[in-house]
Amino acid sequence: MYDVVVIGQGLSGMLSAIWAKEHGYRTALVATGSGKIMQSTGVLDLIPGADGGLKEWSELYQLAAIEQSQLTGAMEQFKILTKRLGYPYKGDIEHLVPIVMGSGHIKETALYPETISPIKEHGQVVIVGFDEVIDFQPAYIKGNLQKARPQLSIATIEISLGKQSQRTMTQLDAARLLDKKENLDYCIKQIKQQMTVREISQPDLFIFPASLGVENWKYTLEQFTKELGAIVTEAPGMPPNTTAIRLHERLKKEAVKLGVRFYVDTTVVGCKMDRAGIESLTIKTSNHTTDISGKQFILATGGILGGGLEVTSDGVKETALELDADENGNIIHCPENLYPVGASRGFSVTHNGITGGVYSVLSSHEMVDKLHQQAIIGGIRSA
Amino acid sequence: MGQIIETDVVVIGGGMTGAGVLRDLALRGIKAILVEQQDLGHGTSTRNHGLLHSGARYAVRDEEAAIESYRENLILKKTVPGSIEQTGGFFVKVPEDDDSYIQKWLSACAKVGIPVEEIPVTLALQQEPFLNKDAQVVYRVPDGAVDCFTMVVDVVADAVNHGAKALTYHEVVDVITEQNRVTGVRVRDGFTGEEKVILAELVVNASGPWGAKIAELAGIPLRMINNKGMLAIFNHRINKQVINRLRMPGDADIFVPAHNVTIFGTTGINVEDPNDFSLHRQELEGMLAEGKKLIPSINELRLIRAFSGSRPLYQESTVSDASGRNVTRGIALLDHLKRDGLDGLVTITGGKLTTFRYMAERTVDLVGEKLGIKAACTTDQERVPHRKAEEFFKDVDMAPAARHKLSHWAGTKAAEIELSLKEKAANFVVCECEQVTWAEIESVIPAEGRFHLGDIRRRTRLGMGPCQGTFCNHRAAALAVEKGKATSDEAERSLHHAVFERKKGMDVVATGETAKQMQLMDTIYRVSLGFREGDYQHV
Ligand SMILES: Cc1cc2nc3c(=O)[nH]c(=O)nc-3n(C[C@H](O)[C@H](O)[C@H](O)COP(=O)(O)OP(=O)(O)OC[C@H]3O[C@@H](n4cnc5c(N)ncnc54)[C@H](O)[C@@H]3O)c2cc1C
Repeated sequence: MYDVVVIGQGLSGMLSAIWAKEHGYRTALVATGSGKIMQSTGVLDLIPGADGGLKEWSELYQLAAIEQSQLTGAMEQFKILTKRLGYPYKGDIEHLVPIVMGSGHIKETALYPETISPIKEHGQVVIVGFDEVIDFQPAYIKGNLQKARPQLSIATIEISLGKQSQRTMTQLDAARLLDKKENLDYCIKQIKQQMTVREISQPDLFIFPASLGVENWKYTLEQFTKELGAIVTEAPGMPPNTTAIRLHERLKKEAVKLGVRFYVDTTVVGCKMDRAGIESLTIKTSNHTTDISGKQFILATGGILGGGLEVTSDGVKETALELDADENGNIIHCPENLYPVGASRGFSVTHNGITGGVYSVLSSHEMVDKLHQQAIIGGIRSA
Repeated sequence: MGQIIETDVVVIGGGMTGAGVLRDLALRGIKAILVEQQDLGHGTSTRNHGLLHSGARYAVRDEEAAIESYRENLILKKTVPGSIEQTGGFFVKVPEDDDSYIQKWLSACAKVGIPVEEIPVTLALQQEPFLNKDAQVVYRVPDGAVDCFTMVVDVVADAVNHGAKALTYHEVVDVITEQNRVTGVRVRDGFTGEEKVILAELVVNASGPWGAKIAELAGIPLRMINNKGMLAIFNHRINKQVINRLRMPGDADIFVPAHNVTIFGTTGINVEDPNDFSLHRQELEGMLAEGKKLIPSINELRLIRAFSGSRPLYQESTVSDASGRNVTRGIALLDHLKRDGLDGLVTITGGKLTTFRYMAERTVDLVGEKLGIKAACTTDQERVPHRKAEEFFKDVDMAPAARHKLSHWAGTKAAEIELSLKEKAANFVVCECEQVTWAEIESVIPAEGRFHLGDIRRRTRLGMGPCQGTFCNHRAAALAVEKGKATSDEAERSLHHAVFERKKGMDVVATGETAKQMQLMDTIYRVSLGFREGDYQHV
């Protein structure tokens, strides 16, 4: 018997599990896939894929006063957590910053990891691509970036990842290679060489794909910064983005370390209900089906993209517990002890497929808080 | 005024009909230029079912169409082998279908000479496991599957090889007439906006559903019925051969295999505007309900997209019929001198994809007569080069699946593609679903530039698979800029256009996995890559 069972291991699910555990609850997390965080860019946007500050965001997401009041606290908690995990996020929800993406387009974001630096209006930049990373093409990026930042002076460099590389690699593959010092040194050498041979003047900023190491990102970033003598940023783009993978891996490690019980590659195929709500979940792994019971349940299975909601020819369905949903993806007759977070809260909180990192963090934070209140009132606190 | 070009014949329309006319003209040694407002196959010729009719579907109702179809079916299998898969086809009677139709159909097929063979139902079910277990009678006919993308491209390429010219993205904006004679056309280049005049002895209007518009430019009345049909594509190939319902032709009763997928359709609704490619969920629901009778599990299958096209049906009188199915699909070859007293203009319309060659033959016979040229038609014998290229790519370092594709696909471009695969870093796969390499993409980008992902898709199948271009469209556009094949503006415009087009076709079938895929496309382009809705002029 768990106090809290979280379904889904995207950003919302993972944060919910960690925070619930930190509140002292016996917590389990059940998940099939790896969560949409694997496809994300690893930065926390307000309105994904659109401009707009806090005001537009809270209007669009129809945020209740209680949620708004928790916003600052939630962001602080997230920063504290990521700092502890050795992958600190910076930024400020009141002042969005422009960052360059792997297409050369610029988007505004709220919170971002230390491997990312905002893009300025003026100055010199050099875009560095790896021959093997097919989804990061410097000349193409330059074209789009130049349009958005006409006053920047932009140069491009193409280098190779060296002997261990393959014909085509993703940003993540490249990052794993850059975890090794010899590959890193080889890259630095090539960049310096090209800078000299092609007489490229010393820039203020180097733009790389989201590939600056997975485990050893800090060392990679420091080495590049020191050796190249300028600020270095990753430009996330076509998934997989290492910016997001680092966060995911670290959150998972932390959850396990805290004692969250993980049921991986496990599908929730239904639930048993009693009058008070959900009693237990029926879960299925490759070869057997069992029940896990809990007092409170957090639904973090995502929206259509995450697979938590499915569009069928006769309406929207919630997939894990097979609850009915209305045409806006809101669960009808939500059991009392089930707490949807993130994109599981329906289409009004998703834009361009996802909720955006800020909302995910806020909703998980708020939900754990609410659950805590409930637990105290209900007297089921285990601690 | 811009450039003036002179030729003997101008062919308006780069559909299958225009392509056939151009090739026939070229083979008979007549100088000709084809002009197409967009890309080859922009119209109905790539918006159809891709069924190489055996004639069996028309045998009862339209004997002439059945005869033409069967004859052309045999000719095309021989002359355009690279674009045809000789799948064969089933006609299946399910309990809902009228018993008395079988006899009528059998004797009509016999009369036309279409070979029909009865297949035991158990055997048919073994071959086609998705077929309704309650099927009562099954016959086999020589239907086939046509790749209309390659066919239109290859036929035009062969015409060009024989001295003809083809100008894509050249829209006819005026038909030039002097007194009672058409002397040429004015065209506008869709990329540059530049206008040119093409002077000719004769103009052939092969503009399909746009036929009435061209006639209007020449100042003559022409009544066309544009009968729009919807088609839907499954994410994999559910049938080996074509599956038809054995009944009077109706909606949603044909499943045609096309490479790795199956195309299902269709419907028929008359529309005014030839540019009306709209898709409606209700129409699709109706199709699925009907299709269930042949393929009971149809609702569990995943659809990746839908599309629509209009049958250009010529109607001399003005009696209208909402279904469009009772208007003849017969071929209409109009000599506007005889019909309207206007010399120098001929219209060819109606018919089918299957009969394009014959339509072209008749048209060029008339053209020859008018120009006093006696050369005979040879398109019933002369082959369009095959797509097979098995002797190539053997020692190229590349993914086996991509090699397999190219050796069945590269055709006349094989040597060029092989060279580029060996010389440059062009051997990596850009589109994983369809195994398209950069070398192949490069080989279809025109020398003068004009980067257009849609054109590339039609020639390589880039982005046609289940992910509908989510990953490869961006990749191809970025690589094109990188390799100097496109400016970043061209790449951007083309990407917006491609994503928009793909989404249009996905939206109407967007349930389950396809709904998910569509959101992924939004997330990646809007959120991961930071694209914004721009006001890009779509070429
Ligand atoms: C739903 C559906 C399913 C079908 N299925 C089959 C089938 O399975 N088998 C079969 O044999 N037949 C089938 N057909 C019929 C067949 O597709 C058509 O008969 C055939 O494609 C018509 O070709 P076309 O060249 O005459 O017209 P189109 O392909 O439409 O060509 C006309 C061309 O003219 C161009 N054009 C128009 N205006 C201008 C201008 N002003 N300047 C320059 N160019 C211009 C257009 O862009 C277009 O490319 C189907 C039709 C439909 C609608």
